Amino acid sequence: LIRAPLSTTSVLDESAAVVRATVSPWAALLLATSIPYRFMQIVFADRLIELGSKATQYGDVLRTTADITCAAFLLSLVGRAIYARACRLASESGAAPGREALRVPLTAFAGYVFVASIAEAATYLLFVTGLGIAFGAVLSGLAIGTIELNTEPGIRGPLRRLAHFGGSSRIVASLALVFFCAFIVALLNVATLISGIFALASTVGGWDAARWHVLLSIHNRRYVLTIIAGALLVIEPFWIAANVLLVRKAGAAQTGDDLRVWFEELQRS
Amino acid sequence: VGGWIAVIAASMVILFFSTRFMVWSGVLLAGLR
Repeated sequence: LIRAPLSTTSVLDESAAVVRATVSPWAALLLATSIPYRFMQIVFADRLIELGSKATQYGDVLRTTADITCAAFLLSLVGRAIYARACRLASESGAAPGREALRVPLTAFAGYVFVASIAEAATYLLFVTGLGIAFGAVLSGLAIGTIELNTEPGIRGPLRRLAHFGGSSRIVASLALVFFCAFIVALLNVATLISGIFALASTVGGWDAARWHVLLSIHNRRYVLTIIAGALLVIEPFWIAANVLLVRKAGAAQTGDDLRVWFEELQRS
Repeated sequence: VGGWIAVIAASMVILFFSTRFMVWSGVLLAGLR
């Protein structure tokens, strides 16, 4: 289903259609597997803020939290791999994929875990520079986009594909910029939604929602961290779909498949 | 088989270091506050 040539707008446009087709149950599965990972990230950040300059004295607690976060990260990769496959199937057929989305090849998943781990390590390694999140997001996006191209186990193939598709740097960078803006919008939306729910709840008799204002204020760091995690969860399906389509469209443009499809459509009309 | 061993071993090593980087970066940032 290559409807338009490779461009940022076409990728975003088609990814919205793909997310609509995969929202139930695959986007829900993606959220269910990502929530433990985001929750553990909140716990880790909260502990760090709480400990402050004394954090060096609590290495064991932080290490244990980081280890549990790593386990939750592996679980989130399973959800992402299934969702990426569902996106690819939906973009091919134009319909909601069935149980076939669950059949992620083991070689594809192993290659994906390898490159996603590199992205995760690079994020934390470069975190203090401020570039870590952007670099890690682009790298993990390309990792999920190229997942199904990993047909043989090994470490060279996934890295080669990452470098190959990273070559479309203009579109990759503009996608990252668009999703940064989407993250800000999602942040505001999630905060407004939560405030709206409690404003409505306060109108119900017997429900004392007034005290929740203390908890749901920007002065409560746990609330702020939860809002950030919520915004990341909201944009995640769109980010994965966009990267799957980017890789698919870039691959189609290189092999000439887009021209073949266009020619067949011309012949039919 | 070699490819499988390489990809699993490399993933485990990188994941191990990513947890360490997470702690080191976090402690560094917390210390800077």
